[in-house]
Amino acid sequence: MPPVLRALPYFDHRTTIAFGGRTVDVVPFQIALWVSVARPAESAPAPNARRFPAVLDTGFSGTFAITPAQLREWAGIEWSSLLIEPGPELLYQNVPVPHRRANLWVYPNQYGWRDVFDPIMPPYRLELNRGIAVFGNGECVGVTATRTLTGPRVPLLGLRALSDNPVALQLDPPNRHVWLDGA
Amino acid sequence: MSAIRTPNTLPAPVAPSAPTETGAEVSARAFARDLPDLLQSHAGQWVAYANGERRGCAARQAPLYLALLAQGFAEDEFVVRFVAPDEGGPVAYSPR
Repeated sequence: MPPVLRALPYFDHRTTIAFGGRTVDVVPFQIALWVSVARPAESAPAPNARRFPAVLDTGFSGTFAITPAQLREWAGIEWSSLLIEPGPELLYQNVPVPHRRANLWVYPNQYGWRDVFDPIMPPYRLELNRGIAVFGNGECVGVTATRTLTGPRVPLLGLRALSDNPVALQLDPPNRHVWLDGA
Repeated sequence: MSAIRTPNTLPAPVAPSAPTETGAEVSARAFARDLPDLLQSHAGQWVAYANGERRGCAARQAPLYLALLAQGFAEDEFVVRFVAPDEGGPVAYSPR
């Protein structure tokens, strides 16, 4: 399996990530990686695809959660432009959240660096069975009750997303590194 | 002599029209219907359904997606799903 993330570091102290004229805080022991939102028919990231950070959260049992504002301002995509992915209802804080058809590109890091990209390795496509969950910021995203939901501060990548792809994830806690290989 | 009376009838009730399902919704239901069998025969693969009919399976999603588009299906007519238990329900989530 070719590598996607190589010794991606996470930290025991608060860090910041700057991108697109903004900064976001990453709290200690959060694993941040870089992604862009992909439409399923893409064979490579669109030329205007915007990379942004997401937190790998193995305690999040969804695929990918992002607020409408993050999708709009960080990814440059309006939630309403993504098709609804029909399927069994998925509840966030007891509210059914429509899922939107999309995949993710994960950007390989330079060995040992979090916010420096590998100049040679191509982005890896994570194929999302149920697409992405878009909610938060008081916006109604197809179901009125989604207005009440608190969205993620930084988009979350959940274990469900990895489980539907031929990838191998390794954590190296003593060195605070993450490795991801993908076929 | 009784007058001939016109029957006093009411117009037939008009049933509210059901919302039209998209091909993707029909396909998602077909996938859910077939999932128990697929878990036996195609676990860990992707399967494509268009307008409710199974169209193929593959190791990755992308080839199926592109094949359906090449066959002329619109994106709201199909789903491409990973064969794994798909129960829905609560998602473990907390804003970070």
